[in-house]
Amino acid sequence: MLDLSTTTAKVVFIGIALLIGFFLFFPVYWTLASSLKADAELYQITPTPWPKAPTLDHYRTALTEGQLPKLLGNSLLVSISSATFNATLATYAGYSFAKYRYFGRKPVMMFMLSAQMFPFGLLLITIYPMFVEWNLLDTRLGLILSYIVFALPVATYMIYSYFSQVPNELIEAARADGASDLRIFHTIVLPISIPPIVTVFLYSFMWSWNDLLYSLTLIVSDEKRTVAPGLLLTYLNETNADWGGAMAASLMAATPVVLGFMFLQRFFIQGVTAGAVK
Amino acid sequence: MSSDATSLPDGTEFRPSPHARRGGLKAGDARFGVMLLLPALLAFGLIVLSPFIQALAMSFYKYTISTPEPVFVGLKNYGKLLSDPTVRASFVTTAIYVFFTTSFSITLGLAWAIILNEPFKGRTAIRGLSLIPWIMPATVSAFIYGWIFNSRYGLLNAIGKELGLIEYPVAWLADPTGAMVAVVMTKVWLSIPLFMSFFLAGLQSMDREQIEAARVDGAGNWHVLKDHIFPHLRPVFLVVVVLGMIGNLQQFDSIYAMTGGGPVRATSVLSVEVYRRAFEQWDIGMAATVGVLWVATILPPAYFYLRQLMKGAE
Amino acid sequence: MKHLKTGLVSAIAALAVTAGAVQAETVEFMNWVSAEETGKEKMTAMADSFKEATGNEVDLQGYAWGDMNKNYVLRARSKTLPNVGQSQGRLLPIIAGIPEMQDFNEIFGKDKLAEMFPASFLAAGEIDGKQLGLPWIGGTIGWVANQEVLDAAGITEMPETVEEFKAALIQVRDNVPNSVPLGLATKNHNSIVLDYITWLWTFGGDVMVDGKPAVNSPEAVAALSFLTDAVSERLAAPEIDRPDARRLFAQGATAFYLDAPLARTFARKFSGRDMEIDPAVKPIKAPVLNAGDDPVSVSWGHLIVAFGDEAPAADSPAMQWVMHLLSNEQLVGYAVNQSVLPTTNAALESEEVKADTYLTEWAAATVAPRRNTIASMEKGAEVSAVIGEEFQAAILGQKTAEEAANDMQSRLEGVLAE
Repeated sequence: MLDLSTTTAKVVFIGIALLIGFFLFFPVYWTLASSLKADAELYQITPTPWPKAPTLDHYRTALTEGQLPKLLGNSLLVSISSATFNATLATYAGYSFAKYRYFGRKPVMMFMLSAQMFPFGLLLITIYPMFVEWNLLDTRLGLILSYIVFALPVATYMIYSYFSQVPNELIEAARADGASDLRIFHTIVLPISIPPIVTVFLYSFMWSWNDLLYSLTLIVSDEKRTVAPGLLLTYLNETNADWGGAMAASLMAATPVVLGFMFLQRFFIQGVTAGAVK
Repeated sequence: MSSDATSLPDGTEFRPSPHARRGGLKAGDARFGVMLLLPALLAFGLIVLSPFIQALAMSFYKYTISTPEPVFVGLKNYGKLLSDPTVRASFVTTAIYVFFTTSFSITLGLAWAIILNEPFKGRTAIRGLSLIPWIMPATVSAFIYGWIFNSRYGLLNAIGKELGLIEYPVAWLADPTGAMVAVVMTKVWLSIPLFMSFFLAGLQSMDREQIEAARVDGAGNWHVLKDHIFPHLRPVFLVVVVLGMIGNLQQFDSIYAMTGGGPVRATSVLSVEVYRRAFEQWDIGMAATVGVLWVATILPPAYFYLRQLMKGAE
Repeated sequence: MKHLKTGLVSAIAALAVTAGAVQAETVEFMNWVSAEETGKEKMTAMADSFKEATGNEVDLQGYAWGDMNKNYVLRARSKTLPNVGQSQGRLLPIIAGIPEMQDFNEIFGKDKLAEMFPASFLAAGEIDGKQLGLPWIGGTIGWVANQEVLDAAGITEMPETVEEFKAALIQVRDNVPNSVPLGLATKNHNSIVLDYITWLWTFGGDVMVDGKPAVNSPEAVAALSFLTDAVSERLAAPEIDRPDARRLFAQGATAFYLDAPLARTFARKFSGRDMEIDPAVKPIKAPVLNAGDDPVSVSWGHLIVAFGDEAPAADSPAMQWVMHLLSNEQLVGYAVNQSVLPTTNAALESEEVKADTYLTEWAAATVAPRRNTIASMEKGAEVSAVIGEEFQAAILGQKTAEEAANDMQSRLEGVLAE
């Protein structure tokens, strides 16, 4: 969309691109480089710009002692489940908000969205005893449910604003053919709404994937620990500061998700295009 | 929607009849609508609303480690908090944090989206790789930046010394401004991908012919941006500002992992404050009070903003 | 409603207990050792050997050290306390109010315990006449010196007075490039408090005098000024937490720092040299203000605590586990491995412990340890936060030592007035 035929435009464009690119990617490079350095090289006052004697030691340790595969498995399981759950609830609710008119619709929607500003830490104080009563403490199910706090309202809003743009005629035409509302939703509306649903799924996924606060508190046993608290407990805590290990484990933890996102990115952008922002 | 043709997400066009209505379907099926909403509402009520109301109530109680059962104290917690200068400072710190993180991540996200919207070799790969900061758990981002800012082995000091800018290593995270810069940078870094995606999506739905027409009329890059691209992205801005502010207000992990709210209290934003009062000092009543004040401060402007947003979407 | 809920929960809990009693029992042991790299293996081995010996399982519930008390309190409020837990000695008073805490005197009898442990260790677990914690491993928080760093700096005699200590620090700074001579904790409130009170005591002050804060006494101001100067003269650095100090020490960049006897285990790990570094890790007496003063140290130790609605029988699986942990076969190896003193008479008498010169030197260097009274105050966390913040403000140059001490004093008065 820009006209880059003049030298000035080109210079400005490339200059800004390099600057932002550096800001975005350099930390990633530095993580990679640090993770490949042995401790002796890592803890130098003047760091080497790239690993002089690259070693996979930190990766090996992370996979064996650091229990990374287990942490990763737990995180993926919990995040995918909670994202699915969130996306499902949000899809129905968003459709309801967009296409039906009933008493209290707007206030409820507004209230749900404003709830996103309730301090998460505050909610945790009361969620904890509640989960104990429901026998949900230290269960993956509990953690999955608790992630509703993070993403459901915004997810609902995103999908709502998409559905608002789906023309009523599409639905009313099907109604005229005698299809029930539920059937119309499932067979006509849903199939054309995959990208925004994927978007909402990914948005919810990221909240769960990132969470430290809830997981650290609601998960008690080692076998169910997720990535963020696992990394913190293993690598940087009261007794330990293992930067190389932390870097290696972080990269490995991020890899499967990066790959998954690259695959889904097309949907994501399409979904955002169709949905929240039109 | 401005054009009369609606583009469905699968690419097909749907041309509404002249008497097409926006908004809800014909009446008579409200009950079905409520049914669709019910599961989400139930989950919301149980996991968000009810804990919130309980927490709200807690702000009227003294509930500390020495009181196994909450004791009703009325408005005492509020009085105590409002006269506590450290809490006022936390509000200011939060405002600074939210303002800088939101404005920088939006500006940079937009710029990056505009760049990645231009055709060039390897664009797809770069778009994909750009998501990495977002995918790194926030804790990890804190590790990475903590490592770069590290006073002893950090890259920043090494470069500074190499260039002769500093004589002795600087403990950035031990400096109030340095620590704030570090936590803001971390959050901006991990927010850019999300905002970039939103803006990119907005840009892709732009009418290219309109821009070409403007070009023919002699509009330069700046005019195209100012008169066509930015106005087109207005709804995106609205959404992104809300998402950004919510996310930044709630941000806890990366700050807590990086500075723990320090040095002194320089990065003690409200989320950290609530956590520390609740889970370090065991003063649940006070933690709840800080939380309630937070909600009270943020809700009025949020309400008007959300209403605006709602209007835009309908 | 509240009662109904509690009733329901305890009914479920009771059911769970009865159901569990049919088969081999599982003892829940909440601890931080199994959450840490340095202790995970050892802890699992102890659980395995327990299973072999008794047929009962141990469920190791590992939490981060810093999260322990948070979890005890949360679990007490939700009635899901484990059978047995680990507690930091100085933090015991914080959880002492939990009604389910059991008195080991009732379980094993006062006499038996008095026979098993030296009185000084036993005292660390006693609160208001109740033996709420059994000593597990013990020692003090004292000074460690890195002999290699001292050699490199040309220091031939261990400093004994504060003056000599400072001279040594300067010598290290000037002769060892890029060093942080004093591994002073400057980042994390809880770590700062330990360093702060050690210095406060060294200068003859205390946090509380006659039940009132006294952190702006001339002694306290002198201590804070000393530390502030140390940072501004680059003898110590900002942004250092205990783990950072440990790493700097292990890498030969720090000459002195305060730690528990575990210091050697960390030095082995962080230096990558394992036992080769042992000769360099020297426990030393704390520097004294005037020659002839008593060197200070802070008592330190890990305790075992038990929870339940009533006192468990001495031969219950949970108590069997406690005794298993304290048996010579388990305790001696564990303590030596962690470079700490075991707490039972039998283990202290064992050849392995006696042969460990580091441990005996440590014990000799830190006589007459005093209790850290801050951490165990009811408002300990708030008090620690105030001390940590004002301490930071001083060493970062935001306030003079005197201003910080005055602010600390008035804030503490405010916190404690309620």
